[in-house]
Amino acid sequence: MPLPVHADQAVPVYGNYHGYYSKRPFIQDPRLALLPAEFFVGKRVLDVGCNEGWVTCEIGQSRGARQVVGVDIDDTLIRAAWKRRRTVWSLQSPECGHLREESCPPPKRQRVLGDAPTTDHSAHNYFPASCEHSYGSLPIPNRGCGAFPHNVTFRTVDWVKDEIPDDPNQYDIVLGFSISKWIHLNNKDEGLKEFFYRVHQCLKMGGIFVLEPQPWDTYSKARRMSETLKENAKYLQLRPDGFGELLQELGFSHGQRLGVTGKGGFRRPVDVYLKQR
Amino acid sequence: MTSPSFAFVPRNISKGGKQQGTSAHVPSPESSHSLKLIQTPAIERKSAYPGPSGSDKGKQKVPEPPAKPVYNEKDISILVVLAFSDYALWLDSDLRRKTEESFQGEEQDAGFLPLSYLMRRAFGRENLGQDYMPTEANAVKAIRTYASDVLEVRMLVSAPSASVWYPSWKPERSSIGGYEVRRKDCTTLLDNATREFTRHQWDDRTIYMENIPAQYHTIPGIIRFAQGLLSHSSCLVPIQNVTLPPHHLDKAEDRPKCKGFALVTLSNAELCQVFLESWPWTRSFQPESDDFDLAEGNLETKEASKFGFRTLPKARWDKLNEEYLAYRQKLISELADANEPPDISPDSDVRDVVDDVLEDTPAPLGNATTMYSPYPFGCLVFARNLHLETNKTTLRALFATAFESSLVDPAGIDYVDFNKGMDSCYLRLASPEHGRVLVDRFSSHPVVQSHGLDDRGKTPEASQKAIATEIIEGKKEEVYWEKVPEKVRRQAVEKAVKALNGKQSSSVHTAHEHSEESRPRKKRNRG
Repeated sequence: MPLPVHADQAVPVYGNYHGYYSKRPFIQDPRLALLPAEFFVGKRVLDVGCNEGWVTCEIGQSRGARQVVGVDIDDTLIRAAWKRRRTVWSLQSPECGHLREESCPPPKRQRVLGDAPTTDHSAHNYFPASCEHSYGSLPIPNRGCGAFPHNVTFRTVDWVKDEIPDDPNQYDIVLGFSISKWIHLNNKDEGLKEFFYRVHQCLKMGGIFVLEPQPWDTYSKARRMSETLKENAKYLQLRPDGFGELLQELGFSHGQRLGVTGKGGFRRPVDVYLKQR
Repeated sequence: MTSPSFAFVPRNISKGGKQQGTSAHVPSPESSHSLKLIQTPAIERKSAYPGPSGSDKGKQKVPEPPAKPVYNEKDISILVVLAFSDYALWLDSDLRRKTEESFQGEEQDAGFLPLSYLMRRAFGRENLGQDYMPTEANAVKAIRTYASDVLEVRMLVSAPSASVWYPSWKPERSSIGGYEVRRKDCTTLLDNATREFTRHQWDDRTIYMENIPAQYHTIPGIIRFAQGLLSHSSCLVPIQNVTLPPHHLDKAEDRPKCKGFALVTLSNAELCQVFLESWPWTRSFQPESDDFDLAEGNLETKEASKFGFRTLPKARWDKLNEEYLAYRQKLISELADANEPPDISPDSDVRDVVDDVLEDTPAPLGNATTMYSPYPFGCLVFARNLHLETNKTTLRALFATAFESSLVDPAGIDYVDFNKGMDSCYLRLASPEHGRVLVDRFSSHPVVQSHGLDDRGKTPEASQKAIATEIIEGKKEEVYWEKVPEKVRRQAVEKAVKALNGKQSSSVHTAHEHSEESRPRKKRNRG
């Protein structure tokens, strides 16, 4: 069940942290940086547990995706995600918007692990952040093309249980960044399996699932958040180390580890799975 | 200049063990006006008169819990030093005047200002409640610990006899046992080149900073951060001012919240260069390496890198603001031309934009207030040399005496913008004519208040300063009204327009009388 607007949850039991991105430095998402430049170009992407949409918007603006859908269980976060989309648009250079009128934006050549050309960064962070703050957002014109921000949308949904209209069109890529722990703790083994099954179903053949699972030793702190999580945790038999096997059974390839990002307790691997059957 | 021979007061003179606190003063527009850098960039912007209209009810920004920082000593010292900076002296005419006056008295008093006065300026715009306002004792300790190379503190030991601080009445009781502060460089204070600076010269020393690390999101925090980045500088007071750009939905009395960016005025152009070169506006992103902790630089430098800290000269920032507004206007027109509903999203801001355009008022042309004026023109008067113990009611009656022997409506004072403990106030008048009558009256018949409740005034004695009044016009007037809540401003405009119309015809009153016949008629003029 998606959370109502004024849920005002003191405890983010779904991992639905508010202000997650505001206090952290965010120039470029390090997990996305692990994926090659062409990875998202022209693709339809689903970002599960998108929070305030910072990564979702980056994919839509800077990675050449045809369409990116961000979903989250918390409506407050989704509202913030729409706001983030407006903010990203309001920082973008006017030329950027014009150049991409005719076709999908070709990606700027990006080498893995950064070294992003300065032009990209400067076009995307062209205006001072104070402008939107002091004068209001820039309106988004309807230019009829699929360029950012039109290629980014958000929905409030418990995607483990419910479908959204975009699902049947099938995606090229599904992202599960730092989400598996929360699905697992809230829905137990069955819920997690259901989630993996749904990912498989809504991916095209040859589509890719990018999973950043939290390690098992981080579950102990999370389960102390509420009685429900504490109770659910008792029944968990699946472990993150076993996710790969589950996914293979569903029809995915063997997982390929792209790398590990994050610091300290946030250190997590990023694995990609190809839908083979 | 000899320093005072007494730095500490024997117990039997000071006021017991209780600390001398400063009362929390809600900043009057005067003090916040003089402290706040004109926050609108130096361009004519159509939407210069912010504030949602009544129809914006559903679009207000989410109210945030009041964040009232409790300042540590370092931050207290930073704010007090800032309140007495060269920039503050340049901007704040009241501060400058009082400083100059302090040189006219005894030599030992030269340059000293009451700490309480400085603290009101330092903390006034922070909108702190009584509980959070630091005491004078806190401030003294803070200054002595962190700002002793910049400021000198002494305790006020006895009632000053002919001090210019207490011109015409007995001294404030609370000031005995209080502290006074002066700048250690006070000998050169009045000759400092910055006295003659133009706005442009300060702007040349101002940079825009963005992606300030999250832990420094307060004014003193920003200063600490910036000073950390200037660790090699020998400048005593490198940061002269910090301005937080207000949010477009902020009301006049709202304290702008730091969202990671600020306009920072530095002491000189060289310091600006340090920032602009080390933290340029565009640079290639280096992803965080695992050697972060081993990297060179102090804590501030590392944090700055991590957050993508970048800077821009103010002139360039002004240009980008202009470009943003022009582009915004273009997009609005594009939407209007297309005659389509905007991008499908729960995107209330887009409608806000359209409403704003309709609400836009043209820049003031001429002096006649119309219903479309952003504020009533010529209706603002600034008065000073008031009795420190006076109050609003007294002042209202006192200034209304100006209308007694004239033909204008005696109810000419719309609002007395005054805070207790100040010796000046703003008056919002019902019409420009009232303003002129008032100023004429007080200049041709100078008076002082003999006590706090004196609402008639008496002829000043030789040493006393008469109450001075002046009509505020132009930019100062605009800046004042910008801080007044939208609703109040609108009412003032309506009133001024009515006053204009009332003079031309009595149609307004006719309608009024017809609809409320049972009420006793209001007499328009009493003679």
